[in-house]
Parts: sequence; C-alpha cells; structure tokens
Amino acid sequence: MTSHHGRLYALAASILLFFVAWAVVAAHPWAAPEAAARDPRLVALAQREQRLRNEAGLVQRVVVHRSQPPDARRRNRPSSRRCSRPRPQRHPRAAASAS
Amino acid sequence: MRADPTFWLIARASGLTAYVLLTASVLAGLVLKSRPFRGLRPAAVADTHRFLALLGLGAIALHGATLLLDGTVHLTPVALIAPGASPYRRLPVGLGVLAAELMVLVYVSFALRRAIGTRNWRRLHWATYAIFAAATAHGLAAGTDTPQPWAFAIYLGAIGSVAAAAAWRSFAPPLTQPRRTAR
Repeated sequence: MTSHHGRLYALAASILLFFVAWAVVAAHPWAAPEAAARDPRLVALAQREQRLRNEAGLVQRVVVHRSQPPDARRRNRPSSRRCSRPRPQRHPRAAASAS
Repeated sequence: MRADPTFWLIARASGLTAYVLLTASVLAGLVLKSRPFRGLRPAAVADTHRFLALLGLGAIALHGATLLLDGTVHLTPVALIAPGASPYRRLPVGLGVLAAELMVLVYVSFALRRAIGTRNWRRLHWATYAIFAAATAHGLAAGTDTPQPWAFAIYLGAIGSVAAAAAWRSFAPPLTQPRRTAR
C-alpha cells in the first residue's frame, strides 16, 4: 500500500536535510576560528596583515594628498580644516572648573 | 585561482544525506519488525521504509556523480563501480562502493521477493546490517567532515539509534497475532 503522507514527509525531510548539510559543509562552523586561534603562525600572519593594511592606508592618504592640486591641498591641510571646523563645546563641568 | 567548490560541497552534503537516509531506512525496517509504536500502520511503515531506501540511493547517485565532476579527489567511473579501484583512500572508498552496490541489490530484491522466495529475501535483507556498518566505516574514514563535532555527532547518533533499535528487536518479546475469540 502506498503511503502518500509518509512519502511526502520523507521527501520533504530529505530535501531539507540535503540543503542544511550543504549549508553546514559550506559554512564549516566551529572549524576555522578555532584552528586559526590555535596556530601561532596564523595569528602572527593575521597581525602582520593588519599592520600592513594600516600602513597601506596611511600611504594611500599621503599619495591622495600629494596628487591633489595646490589649492585643494591647502584647503585640506589639517591647520585649515581645524579653522573651518566649528569648535567643540566644552563639557559643562570642565567649563565650571576652568572658571 | 581556486577551482569552483560547488561540486565538492554537493558531494559532501549528498554523502551525509545518503548516510542519514540509510539510517532512517534501517530504523524504519526495525520499527516495522519490532513494532514499538502500536499506532503506526505496518503497510505505511513498510512503504516509508522502501521510499527512504530509494531516496538514499538517489543521494548516493548524486554523491558519486558530483565526485566524478569535481577534481578534488580525481575519481574515475571505474573507481565508482569496482571496490578498491580508487587511488584516494582505497579501503574506505571501496567499502563505500561495496555498501552502495549491496544497497542497490537489497532494494531490487523488494521487487523480486516472489521470484526468489521470502526466505531468501529475508536472508538477503540481513545484509542491511553489513551495508550500515560499511557505510559508517566509509563515512568515518573517508569523510572530509568527520573531525567536525557536528558530523561526528551524526555518526554517533546513527550508530546509537540503530544499535538501540536492533537491541529492542532482539530482546523485546515476539509479536503475537491477536487471537480470534470463538463465538
């Protein structure tokens, strides 16, 4: 005797199971962060990568600044920017202690 | 440049799916035999048991096809048919191939039950335990995800549930047909 309900549930559950397994295999949870934290070479590599990223960002900023035309460069100079920017309000308690 | 890992991911996911479906089919067969749940109709359980085995065979076919299409383990069509012909993890892959072929044989025997006789069909059905053991060994030894806690939990759960159901079947008192009262 064919059990249509049983077959339908089995088919739906197996399709769901397949896609969940695919997602879990693709995401490989638990594995990557733990392994990376354990291996000191990977930790040192990650730190070096971060430092190089920071240095590359600084170099990029200098390059952009130098490639600007003189007027724009003068406008973007830190001293001129400080003048154009509104002064931040002092904290009321700091102001009271200063007076 | 890294190769597209889609086929490799599908191969791993379908392998795990096939294993879970095989386990479910074995459990359904044991439930059918020992009937721990009286509310279930035997005919419906038998049909679900067969259908789960068919779905498992489909997942195995997908597993093999995607392993052929993917270049990670370099399997040949011959390695998928002949046990032990795979250059990659020869014994565990061979066990997997053997389990798949036996599963096809047991599934085909459903249709040939009358031709081969119920007793022979029952004898052949005992091979299901060997299929389950071979599939477990294949997954544990050749599975890429076996070291992961979730995959290991799947294998442990499958072994535990099949062992418990088989023990229930062995130790539970045999079913007796309800007696008809004389009028």
